[in-house]
Amino acid sequence: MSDSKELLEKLTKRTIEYTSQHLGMDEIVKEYKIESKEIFEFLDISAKIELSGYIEGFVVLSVSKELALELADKSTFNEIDESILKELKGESIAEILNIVLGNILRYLDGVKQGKILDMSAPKITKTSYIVKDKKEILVCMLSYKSEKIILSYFI
Amino acid sequence: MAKVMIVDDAKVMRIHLGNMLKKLGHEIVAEAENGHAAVELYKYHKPDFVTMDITMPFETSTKDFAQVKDGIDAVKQIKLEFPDAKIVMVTSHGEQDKVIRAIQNGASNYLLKPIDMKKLQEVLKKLL
Repeated sequence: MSDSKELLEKLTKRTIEYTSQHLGMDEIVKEYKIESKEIFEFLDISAKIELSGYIEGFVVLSVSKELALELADKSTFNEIDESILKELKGESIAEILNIVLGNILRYLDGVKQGKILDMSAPKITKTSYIVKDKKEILVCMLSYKSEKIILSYFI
Repeated sequence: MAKVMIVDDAKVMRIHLGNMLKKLGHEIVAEAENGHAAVELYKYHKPDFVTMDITMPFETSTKDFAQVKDGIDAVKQIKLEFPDAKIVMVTSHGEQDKVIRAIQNGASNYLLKPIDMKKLQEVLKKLL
């Protein structure tokens, strides 16, 4: 398994653990498949965080509008009015990705050894991505109830 | 009750943190979405303490990017003009080196996202 696939597999496993333990998403489907693609269509709401340092690339979390709202409600934003959350669902997903990824990355071997790994501020991203400059997209599909969750890693 | 300024580029985080601080009896006197606005609003409101997001993107609605500062730059500038300013950094896991830089530049403490009410109370007890 290449380093990138190994990294995405670690990110995926920790995402499953974190969402089950901290967001109450026990019904998340734990089977996943890592695929390499050249063009990829995201779901309605996608958030991206760039990584630099000993790992270079970026991670995208993509969900449907409905799941974005549910995630926001299950996360730390559950006290916020639903009408405000609807308006800010993209931003909520970006913050959730920031929290989830921060929690995942601290378990990576390099980070534990003190290597520098910098995360950018989370950004709401476009709904599709085309690979350029011989880069590679690794995509992992999870599902929760009838909804899909896409976790992707770009190198 | 203390006067608080919340600095975060994400409105959802400003609302969330504002709700928690209000529950603890504090008054939100200002909110800023970037470091530049934070420095300007600090001068006007002189809050008792500030919560400051460490990582804020430069691509905001502000056209003059040179004036937009991240959390660490804003701490530096506020502390330069107001050495007694109390600033708590808000950060996610994985940003330890930025936290160290913020504290070296005068930040009082830090809070990890997701922010826990108990931890918030502990940090504020030490701060105020």
